[in-house]
Amino acid sequence: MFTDDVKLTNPLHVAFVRSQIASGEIVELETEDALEAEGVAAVHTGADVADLGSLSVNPVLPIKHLPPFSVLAQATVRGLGQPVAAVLGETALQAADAAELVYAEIEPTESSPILVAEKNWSNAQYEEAAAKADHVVSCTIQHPRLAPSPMEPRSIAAAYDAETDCVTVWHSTQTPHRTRSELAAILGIEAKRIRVIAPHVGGAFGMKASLYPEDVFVVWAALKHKRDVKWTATRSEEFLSATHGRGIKSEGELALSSDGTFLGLKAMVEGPVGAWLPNSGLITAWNAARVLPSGYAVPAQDITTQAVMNNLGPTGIYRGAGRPEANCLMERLIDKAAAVSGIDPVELRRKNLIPATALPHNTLTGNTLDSGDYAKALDVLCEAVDYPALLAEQTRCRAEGQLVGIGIGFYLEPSGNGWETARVTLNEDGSVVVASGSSSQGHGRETAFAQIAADALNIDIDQISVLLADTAKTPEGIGALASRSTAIGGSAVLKACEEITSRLEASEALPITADVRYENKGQAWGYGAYLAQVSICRSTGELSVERITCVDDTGTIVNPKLVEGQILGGLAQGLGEALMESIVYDEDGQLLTGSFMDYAMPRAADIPTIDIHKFETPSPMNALGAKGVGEAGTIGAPAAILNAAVDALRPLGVTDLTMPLTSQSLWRAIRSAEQGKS
Amino acid sequence: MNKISLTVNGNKVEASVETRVLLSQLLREELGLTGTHVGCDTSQCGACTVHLDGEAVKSCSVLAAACDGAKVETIESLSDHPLQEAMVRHQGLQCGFCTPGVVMSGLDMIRRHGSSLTRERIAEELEGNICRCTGYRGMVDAIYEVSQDV
Repeated sequence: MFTDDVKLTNPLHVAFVRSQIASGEIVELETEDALEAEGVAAVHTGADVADLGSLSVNPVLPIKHLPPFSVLAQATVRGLGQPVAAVLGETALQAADAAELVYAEIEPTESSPILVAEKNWSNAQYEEAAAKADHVVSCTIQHPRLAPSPMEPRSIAAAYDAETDCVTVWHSTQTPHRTRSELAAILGIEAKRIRVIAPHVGGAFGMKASLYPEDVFVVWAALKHKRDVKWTATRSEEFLSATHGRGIKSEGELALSSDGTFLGLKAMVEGPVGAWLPNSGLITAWNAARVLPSGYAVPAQDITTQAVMNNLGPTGIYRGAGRPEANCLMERLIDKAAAVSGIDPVELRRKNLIPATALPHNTLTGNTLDSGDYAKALDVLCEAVDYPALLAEQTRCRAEGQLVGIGIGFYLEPSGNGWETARVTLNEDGSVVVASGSSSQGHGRETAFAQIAADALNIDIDQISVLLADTAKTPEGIGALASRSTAIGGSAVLKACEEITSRLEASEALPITADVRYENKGQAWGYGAYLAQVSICRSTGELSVERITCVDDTGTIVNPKLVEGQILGGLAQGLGEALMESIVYDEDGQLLTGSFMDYAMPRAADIPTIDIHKFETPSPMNALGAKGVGEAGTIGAPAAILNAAVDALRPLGVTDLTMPLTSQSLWRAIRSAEQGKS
Repeated sequence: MNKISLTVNGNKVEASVETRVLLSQLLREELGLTGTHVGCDTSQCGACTVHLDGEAVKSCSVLAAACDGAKVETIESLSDHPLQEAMVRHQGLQCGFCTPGVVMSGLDMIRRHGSSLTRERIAEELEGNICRCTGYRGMVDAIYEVSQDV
């Protein structure tokens, strides 16, 4: 059962009136006609919700300017699609009809970007290193703005209980416990009056990590009108007002000596944020900088990141959330360095990757790279594809005039830090209930947690039931974020099972319940290397990905099938960024890609042959030894495909391309290269 | 209002619907058959695919009023179908939101092509079903496997 499937009692349906202007002042807001329309219970505007509190923001970067959080726009509109009024109707169609009758006159105003947050990490030797270098290469990557697009749009349903004056909220979210605590804080009520259930959630990918203004409105309206209230977004509303991802611009300079040794890295990251900041609104700009310089040893570093507010749609974390951006910048710089130094791209990477013996390694940006053998990922990859044969084949194809490319993307994937909970009960009949504060949106967490408990307690997996994502039935928790749930949540389950075993040994009577709040020692860093083989049609610019080969070290694997599912699914999304996906606004800030008719996403026939290889180096940072894998494909694939595309056009003199690599953009690159030569 | 009578999953159903009501809305909101999902508003995603008089259609692109006398089969008409079992075995689903549409499309492919289906053909015919989780491999394998037993 998904949230929109929940049966409520005679619910009111919400339709939002959204601003068609990206930046403006509300001059007039007429709601009378809507109020008189058939089936309309109420129409609300900003004044009704002006006293509500703000969403909290994870301050991973020092905040200079915090954009206001408005449930409905107050006097000022700061983003296209921002809700300015809300209609409550007896049916969804009546609410939608009445919303058309609300007259909102919004006077457009000029707006300029505002610096929201900034941070620099520098050991002040970059310019010196660059002066001594034999080669300095530079690169600018403008990542396309992406719509995460889980197939289930946002949805929330609130059931009001008159007897207790409490609400039960079904919410399509990754973080049900956070929904509850944030709702309580914003509405100014006790958390015990709110129960949050995340039933089946139809995909999330970071887009459902934070509470939205619309969500707050629904629960506020249920308490205000003492009735059940529900809202499910249309897909158009998702494109307009759900958080987008990527859109980051990264500029970098890599200095190296003639033997290929990296000497210094200078990077400037600029991440767009929208009219309001979701809870994880600064994570992407932070990750896109602090994951630099990936797994490579670079003595001199000067890394800056900025989050800059504009009037486009809101941005938040999207699967990868800065990791693809950081890794892509390094991998492009390295391929450029390989081209100018004449060193093979694999050799150049192998030479500069931090050796296994030097791990754990503390980075300038405040990370501890915990474990693994980075160069081994390249070795396994080269063996899997028979790299020398691949190069020979490329030479042969090029001699025939074909445009064929080979691209490598090494990647690091930090998984989350902190705690998660598990409550495991061993009953008298031998059955086991595993409850956790974590959540699942199709990852198969229920299966993985049951396996962990079955192994730890040495019982049949059919004896185990797993409870997630109901604040009334599970211990307080964090939820599914940053590829953290198996590593931290799974470790909590393991620890709780171990406690039960020792209490059993001490002859404690059944039932036994163990409550564990597990905190990891630090982030577990997954890593790997991907290789893409592409060909590009010279006359049409059409790019074909012939094959992608993946090597991942995801630490201890609980369920290989689930890990493979994460890699394949992530890879499809990475392929989408590389080849087709892009949110486009026109000069006036109007959205041109407002539906699946205009926003291309990978279909079944777009998926190339994918070979998956793996090895396991347990992480010392958590009890299970697991590392993250949920984002691997979105990180490794774009870098490898982009490098392969540039490599394919290298004989024409092309040195840079911008994603998405559509036929049109490649055709243009080929034509201008050919004209430049003639 | 339009009075219609149709057969849904073998049951006779009578309903009175506004002209603008879509088949997907009739199924979900009037008949409570919430296994049919709605993932977009432009007939792209395919999560709402059902069988109308034996053929796969996107139920968001059919007016309920046009279904008078029709025979409709939704995902609820199946239980423990070999294709459902194969989808699970091949991990052809993750979040499960697109799955009902994929299963109904897959059955339609199998009905039309039988064992002559190839993986390439399945991938091409899944054009109308978007999945954001799986990368499609498992669902293609599942449909292929079941088609070979026909």
